[in-house]
Amino acid sequence: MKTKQILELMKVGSWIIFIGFCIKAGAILFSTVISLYVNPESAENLYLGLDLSKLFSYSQQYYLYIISFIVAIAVLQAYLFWLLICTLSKILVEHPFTEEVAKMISQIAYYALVTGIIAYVADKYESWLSKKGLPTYQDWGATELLFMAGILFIIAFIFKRGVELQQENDLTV
Amino acid sequence: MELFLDDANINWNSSSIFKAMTPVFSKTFWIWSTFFGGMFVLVCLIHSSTFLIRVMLRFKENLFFEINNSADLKKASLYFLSGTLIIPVLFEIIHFIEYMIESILPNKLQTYTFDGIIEYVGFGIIGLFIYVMGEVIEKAISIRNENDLTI
Repeated sequence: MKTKQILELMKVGSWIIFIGFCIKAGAILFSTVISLYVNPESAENLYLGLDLSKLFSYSQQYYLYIISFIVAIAVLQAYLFWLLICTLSKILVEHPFTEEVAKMISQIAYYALVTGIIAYVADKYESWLSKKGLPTYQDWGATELLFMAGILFIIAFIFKRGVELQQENDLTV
Repeated sequence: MELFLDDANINWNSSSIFKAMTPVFSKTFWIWSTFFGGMFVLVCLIHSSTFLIRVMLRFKENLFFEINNSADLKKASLYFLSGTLIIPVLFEIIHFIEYMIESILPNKLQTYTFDGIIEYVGFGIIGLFIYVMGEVIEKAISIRNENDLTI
């Protein structure tokens, strides 16, 4: 498979994930509003079996904190994939090293780091809640995100070096 | 084996996209397939990590645009893709076969499409991203060679 085709495949995949995270964030926000103002029973199945009913009956404040973490992470991940779609649209196989692409990759790395930190805080918060006898809800994936941020920082650095090389090449008579 | 997995609280039905309501294959079948699948995934991910560590060590020595880095990144991506996609896809196929067998009986298929698909596509993108990075390094090497040859 050629690199161009791989990039196209990645673009399609990124669109699927981007739409998926947007739907996830939207669906959770919508069902949260329903659970708070219309029907508290909807906290039993917020999104694909996500049951926060015990937390809802324990404390509405804690419930809102957990929902905020879930939505914030989903929105940030959607934005990460949006940035990836933009980057993939700008990468040219024949001329990959441009300032713009290097900048966008470092931006993705920073956002991945922020998302990873939020996921880590959410994980710790959930552990604190579980000590109060409440069930755990989901795997936040903090370590994966932080690992990904690390790899992306290295890739961003490689791109910066690549841009320098390319500029040197372009300047050579 | 069964006792060991029971104690370790391992779920042999796997968290999958397709899930038949009543399992057709025995518990032992799932335990062994989970065991061998897990081993395969572990070996592939260890190989992938080894290649990535080699690349990182070369980066540490400031050897960025080397042909070995490009080759190792491509190998790492192939092992990563095999480790993260082959076994889950095989499990999905087995679940689907289970459903096909079940469909003779009045049973239903449960699907958890969204999260499962997002997870698999995510793994695919990470693997392909590592592969593209290998290609990018190859391109950088050709730019550098061109640069070196220019008087």
